[in-house]
Amino acid sequence: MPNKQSIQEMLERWITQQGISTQHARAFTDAFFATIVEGLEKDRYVKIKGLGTFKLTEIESRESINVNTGERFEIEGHTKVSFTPETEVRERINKPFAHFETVVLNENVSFTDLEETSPPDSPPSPIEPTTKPVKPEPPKKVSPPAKKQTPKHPVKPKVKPPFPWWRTILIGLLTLAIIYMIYDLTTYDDNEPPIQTTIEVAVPDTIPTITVEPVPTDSIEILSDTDGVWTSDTTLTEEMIVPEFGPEGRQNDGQPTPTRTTTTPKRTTTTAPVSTTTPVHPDSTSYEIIGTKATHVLQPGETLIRVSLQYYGTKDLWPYLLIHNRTKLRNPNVVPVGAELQIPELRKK
Amino acid sequence: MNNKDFIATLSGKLDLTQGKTSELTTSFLSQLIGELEEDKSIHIPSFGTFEVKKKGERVSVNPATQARMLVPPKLSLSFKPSVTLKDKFK
Repeated sequence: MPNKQSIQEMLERWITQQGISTQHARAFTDAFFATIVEGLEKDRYVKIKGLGTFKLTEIESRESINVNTGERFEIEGHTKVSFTPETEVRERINKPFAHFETVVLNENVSFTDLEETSPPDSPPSPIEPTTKPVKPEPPKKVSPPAKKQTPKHPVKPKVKPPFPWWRTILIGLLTLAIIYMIYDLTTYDDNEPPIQTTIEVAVPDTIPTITVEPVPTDSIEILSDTDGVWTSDTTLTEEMIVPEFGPEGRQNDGQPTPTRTTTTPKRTTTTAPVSTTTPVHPDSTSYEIIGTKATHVLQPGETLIRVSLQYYGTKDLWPYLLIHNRTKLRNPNVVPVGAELQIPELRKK
Repeated sequence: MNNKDFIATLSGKLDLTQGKTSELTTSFLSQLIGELEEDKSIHIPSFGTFEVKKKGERVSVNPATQARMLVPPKLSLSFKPSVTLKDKFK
């Protein structure tokens, strides 16, 4: 930052150079700037050789918004003093940077690579389709006769992202093996198969989540008691069956099965709203971007907050717009008119 | 008001010849610019402040050809009118 000094300090140096009296110098500068003001009053502009041009410019009245209260108000039109330095002066001032030249950039040059490692695409969307096709596999391999619960799982699009598909299969197979072991150990009769499928259905969905909660260990007995009821009752939902069966797997092997038990009930209950609704609770941290749902061309006077209000019904989700359009928007306070924004599809985490 | 009028008015005020006024003006302004070049800002009471500002480099796009250009950083002279001057013309 330049150090600020008043005209007096400068005048002292000027006086020693020129050899004129302080009084004279002061009188001169006072008259000098007074004349500029006078000239502005008279002709609305003053051109001074060796400095530049002072001009009065009209500023039209415009609408603005109070930052604190959000109220609209009008900034009245007024006149402003503007100053344009002479070309010579400009060059003298810019001398330290004069050797720089404007460079035409090649098309492939991108500055985003330097600052961000990941491209601002939405990564979750391509992953979803890969995990979905995995679901139907396990039931086919193990127990094809029981199809009771299968129609339900396509309704569940809620799959937590980055998980390689092969790992999902692997874990799925592992759990199946464990289930078979349990099956042998507990020596159940042949009514079992229907229940088994329900678990296999649930496996791929729940693996990615990591929340594990303590589950009562004596649920096997409950299972055997009510066994006959379930096989006959088709209206029973997954959420009732799965949690009962899960603990079994947990007792024998701690690895993949416990996750099932706690998370599946949540999942089944939430599936219906998740697939269709946009976020209701305005919250700028608890959503994730799962894709792009629309594009929006910025109009004059629009802000990210207004776009957020338009698409999500709340002002609070604008940070997602910024995240999703990082290539175009560097600064949330400077959004160029005409910029095409990708409106992200959001989902509650 | 152009430079000639300006010098004429100023010389009338100072009771000096136009030639002498012009000389003084040139000397004064070169001193002023010289100070500004040294990265100092100069405040003139009831008139305003002259200041050198650094403008960062930026990428600009030619709207006709879509060619992108890297515009280098530069130093520019800015003038900020004082509050009294602002109000005077408002």
